[in-house]
Amino acid sequence: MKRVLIAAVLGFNNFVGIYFGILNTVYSVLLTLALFVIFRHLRRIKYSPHEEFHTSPETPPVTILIPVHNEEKVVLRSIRSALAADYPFFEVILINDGSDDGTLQTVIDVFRLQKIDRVYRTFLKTKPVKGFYYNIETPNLLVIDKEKGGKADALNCGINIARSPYFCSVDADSLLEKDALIRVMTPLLESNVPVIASGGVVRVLNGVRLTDGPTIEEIDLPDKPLLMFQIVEYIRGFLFGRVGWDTLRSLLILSGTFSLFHKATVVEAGGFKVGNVSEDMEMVVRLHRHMLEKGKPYRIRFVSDPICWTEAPENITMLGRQRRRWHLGLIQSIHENRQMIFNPRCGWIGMAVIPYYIFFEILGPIIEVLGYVFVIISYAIGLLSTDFLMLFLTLAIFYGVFLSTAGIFLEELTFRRYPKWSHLFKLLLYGVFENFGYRQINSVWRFQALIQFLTGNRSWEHVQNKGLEGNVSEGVAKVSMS
Amino acid sequence: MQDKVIIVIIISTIAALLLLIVVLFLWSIIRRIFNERKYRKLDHLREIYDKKLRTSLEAGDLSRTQSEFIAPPKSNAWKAIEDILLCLINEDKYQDEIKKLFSLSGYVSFYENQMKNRNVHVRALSIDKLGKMKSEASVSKLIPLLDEEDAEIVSVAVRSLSKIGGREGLQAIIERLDGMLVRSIVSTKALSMALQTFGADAIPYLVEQKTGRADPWIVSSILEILSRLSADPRSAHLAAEHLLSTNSEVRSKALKVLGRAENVHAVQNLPELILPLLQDPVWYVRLQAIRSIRALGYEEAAAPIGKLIFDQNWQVRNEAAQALIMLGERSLGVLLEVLTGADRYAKYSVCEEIEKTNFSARLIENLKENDQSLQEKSRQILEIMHSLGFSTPLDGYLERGGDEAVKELIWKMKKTGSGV
Repeated sequence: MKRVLIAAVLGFNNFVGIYFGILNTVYSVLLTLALFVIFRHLRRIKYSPHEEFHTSPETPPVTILIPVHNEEKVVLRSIRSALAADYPFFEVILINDGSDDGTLQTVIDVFRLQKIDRVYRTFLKTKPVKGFYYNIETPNLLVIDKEKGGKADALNCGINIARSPYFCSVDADSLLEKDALIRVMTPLLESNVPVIASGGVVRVLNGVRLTDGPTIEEIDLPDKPLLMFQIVEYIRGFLFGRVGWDTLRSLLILSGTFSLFHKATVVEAGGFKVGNVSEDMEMVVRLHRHMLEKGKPYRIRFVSDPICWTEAPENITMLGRQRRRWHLGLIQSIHENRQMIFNPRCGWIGMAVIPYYIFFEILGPIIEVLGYVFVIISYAIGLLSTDFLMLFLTLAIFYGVFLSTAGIFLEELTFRRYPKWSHLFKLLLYGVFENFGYRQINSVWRFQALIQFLTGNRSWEHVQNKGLEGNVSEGVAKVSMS
Repeated sequence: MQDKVIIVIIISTIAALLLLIVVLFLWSIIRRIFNERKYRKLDHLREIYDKKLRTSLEAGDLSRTQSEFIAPPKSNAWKAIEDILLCLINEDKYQDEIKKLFSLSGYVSFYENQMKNRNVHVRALSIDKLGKMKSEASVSKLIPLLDEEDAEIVSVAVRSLSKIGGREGLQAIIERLDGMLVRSIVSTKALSMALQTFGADAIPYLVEQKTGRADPWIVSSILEILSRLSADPRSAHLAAEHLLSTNSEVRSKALKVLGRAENVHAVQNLPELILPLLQDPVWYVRLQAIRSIRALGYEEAAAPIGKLIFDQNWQVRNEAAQALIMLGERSLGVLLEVLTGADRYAKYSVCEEIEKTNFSARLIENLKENDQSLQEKSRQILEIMHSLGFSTPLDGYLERGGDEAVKELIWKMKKTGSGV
């Protein structure tokens, strides 16, 4: 019996070694690619024509879709930020998804909107629309009031009404930088292959001082460690994770907080899926599937310079909900498009990228949690020396610190949105600290999400954000859709 | 033995990671210190040279002081002067002096040399700079770049030539236009944007370029570019020749070129040429035909456009509804015909457009008109709109309107469904 146990433990230990070896190799490849691409991007940006696109009639119109549900505290900030976009032709459509607070009335009062009658054509089926609000003085703003159906339903409703060939989804608790829209559109204008979706960088808004405009007055870092961990995580995730995947033409995730889509392709693919807890991720996977099955050339791009600031959860309960929902969304998205797995028709995406996501992203938390269990067993039955255990742990921590430092280094090379010396040191410090507890708790949340999926508990977990307004963080709690 | 090897590998990896962390950490810090010093200096120099340059330019003695603006290449002063000059070149009054100064200070020759660099980014940046400097002397060096295989170089060269302007660059781009489009080396959008900066100068070359070309994609691309440039009889004639093309893209783009008010007299019987395309089998050609007719303000088209309110394609239906409303009172009869018809969808489209374009306000005003026919048609339209649920403009007038007689009429409409 003991021999079997020893064999099992040794076998698993070897498996874990190989598993993490492959995973870390993938991360290292992504990082190397990101370094290369970002350096190249920085050089290209010096002669990029994006400034010329600002005034060009060739720049296609875009509809900014803002789905809101009980966002009274931040809705005005969000609309004003969208209306202030530096872009030649755009409209803003705010979709009030059955709010039961003062969201709709606030918008009506401030923008002096009047109810208008409009025909609602349902290319994508949605919950009924209750009314349209418009003011000729703000001709590029339209508000739709509809029955509650969730974020995907609200986005589909906006797509039904949108007139532009492209739409950009923006969360209500987010703030677009003025040139974010034109920058996220640039790959589309420069590419000879149709770009059907494009995403930009999302940054943590907490800690940032805003003017009433609303524009960013001063970027600062929050004091709460939980927010700092998330800032480091966002920097790492966006600056080397997504850039790396984009280089490999393998993007499966674009943040719903700020993504641009080609409307006709989204409609053709059936619109956003209602019932999926992470509709943005599912949409991107389905767009890949749709285009690959049709055999049409396409690209889905990530651009590292358009920036959208968003609120991050400030307490551990809300963060846990958000992370469980993200992971559950990933599992659902791949499960719903499982026909792509090892499907030669789906090319590189089906044969390599989705299997990678299954084995390393979805199952990763199980391996990690099992790894902790087997380490204890190995130690108990004398298969693992303390020295070896400590060395292995040190290696894992150093690799984690290296990835975070590399992410911060990329930020330093590129956008330097955190300009003070104290910012740099604080970020580097939290890049070290996040390896002691924060990463592990993230694995636990992802593990819980997997259990939720297996047990059929796939409901949307609401995340309460603070509703940052004006100068910083005083606000009433709100239920966010993001 | 095996364990020892593993331990050595792990320790070496940890050491390597630690080294990398320290390197990245120090690199970040050193880079920041270096950049802070560099940009502080640069800002200071920019301030100094901005003042000096503006004073010289305003005093008109740049030829005397130009030696003050010569600095060793790549030095901070060189960069600061370049930045200031690039800002000033966009101010029309100083453009000629700045162009000369760029040349005399060695910037032009420096970037022309850099174009020979093997690194594609260095080359592209140099090409871009020459364009921004509007260096006419560099045109002959930029033209051969249009024949290169590297899309990046070709795109930047097209842009730079368009910024410099002039016939030589324009001709060179147009001569290579189909080659660039066929090889997909530059996107149509990028080419179109570049050619637009040449303005009307590009038109004759584009029109000539087309001659003898059979590829419909090239023809439609050329027409697309022409549609973005100012209206011109030569473009209009070329477009008119292609109205009957067998390719729907070409027909659509030809309509787009023709759809400008200035073209009314450029082509004989233009509305008659466009009208048949309202029945084109391809929806986007019909759509473009409506847009063109609308732009040309061809009143007699109200009836055929009215038929398109029942088109199978929603974009065409919407466009037709909008066009009818833009034609105003002249189309009241057609609007009424649609609103009294059986197609609910068409009725809704018309009502929606009437509200969105605020034509409803004009219909309400018409209720005061002495012209009985106009008054009656307007009343009927408003009444049908009310019966279809488009009552907001009527409610609005009741709340804020001034004329009591009109209000009375609206009250009756709302109460009984009829104002009569």
